[in-house]
This record gives sequence, C-alpha cells and structure tokens, in this order.
Amino acid sequence: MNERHDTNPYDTDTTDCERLHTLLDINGGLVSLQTLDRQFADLHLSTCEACRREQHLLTSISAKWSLTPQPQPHGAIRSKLHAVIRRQHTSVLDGIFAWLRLPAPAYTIAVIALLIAGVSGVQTERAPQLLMIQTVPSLVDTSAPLPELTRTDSDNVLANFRLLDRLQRPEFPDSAARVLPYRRVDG
Amino acid sequence: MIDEQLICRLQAGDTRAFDELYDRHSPRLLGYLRRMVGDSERAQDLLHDVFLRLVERCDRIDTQRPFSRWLYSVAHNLCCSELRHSHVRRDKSNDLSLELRFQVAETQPLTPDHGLDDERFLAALDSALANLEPERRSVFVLRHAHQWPIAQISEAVGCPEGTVKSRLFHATRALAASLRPFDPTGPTP
Repeated sequence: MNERHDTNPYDTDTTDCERLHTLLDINGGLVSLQTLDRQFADLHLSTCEACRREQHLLTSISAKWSLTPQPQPHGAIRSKLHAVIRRQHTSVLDGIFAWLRLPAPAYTIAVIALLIAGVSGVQTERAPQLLMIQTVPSLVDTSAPLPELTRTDSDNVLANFRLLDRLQRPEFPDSAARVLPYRRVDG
Repeated sequence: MIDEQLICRLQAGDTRAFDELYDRHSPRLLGYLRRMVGDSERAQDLLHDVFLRLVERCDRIDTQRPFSRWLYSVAHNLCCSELRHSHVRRDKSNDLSLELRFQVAETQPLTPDHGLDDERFLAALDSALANLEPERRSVFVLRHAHQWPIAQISEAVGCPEGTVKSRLFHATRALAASLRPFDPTGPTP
C-alpha cells in the first residue's frame, strides 16, 4: 500500500496537495510563486480545506519558533571539550617525543652496544635461505606444469637456482642432503 | 574567518578556533536538538556529543563542503539513534507528563477568537512533534525552524530531495491533525 494513504488523515487528493506543498517548500511561500504556479496554488487552496489549514498552521509554527528565544548551552560543555582538545593534542606530542624520556642508562647501554658491534666488526654467517624455495611451491613439484610466471616469480626461480648451486659448494658439506629434489623444466 | 578555515585551525589543536565554531553554532544547534528530543537536559547531552565528534574527527571533515551540513548531519544521526533507543526504554513518568501536557492543551477552553495561546500552542506542538517519526521530525524542524532549503536538508539528513519533500508533507499532515484544536480557520472538533 502506498505510504501516503497510510498516514493521510484527510480524504483529499494527495497528488495536488503534495504538489502545492512542494511548490511552497521550494519557493518559500505563496508570494514567491511564478504566475502559473500561483494560479494553481490559489485554485487548490480555494478547494482544499486541509491544505488551507496546513498552510495557516505552518505560518503560525514558523512565527512562533522565530519568536522563541534560543536556549543557551551549559558552560560545563565548553570546558569539558577544551580538556578533550588539550588531551588529544598532548597525546600526539607525547607519541612523537616519548623516546626522549627514556631513562639515560638504557640510552647509554644501547649506544655502547652499537659502538662495540660496529668497531669489532661482528659478522654472522647467514644461513642458507631454503625458505625461498617455499615461496614458489608449485615449482617444487616437478611433475606439475609450469604456470605462467610473472617477473617476480621468474626472479624467484633464478634466485632459487643460484641458491641450489651455492648449497652444493664444498663450504657447505652437508648441504646436499638438505636440498629438495628439483629439476629444471624448460619451456 | 569562515567555518572551514576554523576547522583547519582546530585540526592543529587551536582551542580559540573551537570556541569560535562553538559560539556560532551551539545555540541554534541546541534549539534543533531540543525540538528533536523534547527535553532540555538530553539536548544538552547531545550537544556535548556532537561537538565531541567534531573534536575527535575534525581531521576527517571535508573542508570543501559547508561545515553546518556536517554538523547537522551528525546531530540528526545522533538524535535518530537516541530516539530509537529511548523509544524502547522510554520512561513511563515522562510519557505520562507528555500526555498530560497535551491533554491540558487540548481540554482547556480556546480563547473566543480561537487565537493561538503561545504557551499552550507550543506545548501541544512539542507533543505533536514527539509523536512524529524522528526522520520526519528532523526535516520538519530544519525546514520550519531553521528555514533551510530542501537541497540543504537533503544533504544533511542523507536522503534524496524527493524523500525530504515526502517527509515534510506527511509531517505537516500529521501535525495539522494533532493541532486541530488550535486551528482558527476551521470548525472546532
């Protein structure tokens, strides 16, 4: 069922009534209407009691509301919101400068540790990166057809070949056992 | 300085910019909230909530669009949400007092010239507004208390202009039916 029939308390032609309301809402009153619209409005208002009442009511409501003094907000609202602004702004600054407030011993220890590491030239042997093979699992399966490779995949495959070569060198004597069976598929 | 410039300054944590925005908009906004929820204290709480959103989300406000539409859009959404919740947990005593006010307005004899006694009329209008759906109430208040054009209301409440016109029409019809005892142009019921 159409919504307007549910709520319409008057038995009138809602189409013309709605048109009149729209005209008045858009133009802000009868006096602003163009000639044809004004003729329609006058004719409709002369025949439709509901619209006449409503227009009178709307005029009354607007007039009463315009004369009603505006309420004033509580003073406490402003001060509460000021506190929120200050807290927000402070928390942003806190985030930026928090590292400055670290205790001095922690700083000192960190700086000394970095210096010692740099001066003594501590180097660690990197473990063979077998994980790289796992980044392209479909290629490990030699029976599977090669998918179409993107440039990144191609780079990964080449990197894996280089890694396999490296693992089979003498400096990694036990590496051969750890290498997964792998066969290069051409084409 | 226009609102949108003040928003930029507020984003940098300028409380004076906030004050300027608050002074400009809070009284009228409070009037809107008061008419929406029908209770001064709840309206004050909602005013706080609307400006709290402003403070918390000022960096996300689009300064290319009018600030007042953003503000009333937030206010409209908060009111509708509040009214939907309060409808469920409506306090019985408030309900009775509202009803009583309306009954008093209805049963007191009208003045001989059917003139609109301000206080009674406004009390009855509040009661009649309270019976409207929040969405209809909102567009009615924005149109007739704030004199906003349809297009501006449409942006603030986030619905097409056609829907705004329809809501206005039905709100007016419902109010006219509720306020019939005050109608000086027609016969008394």
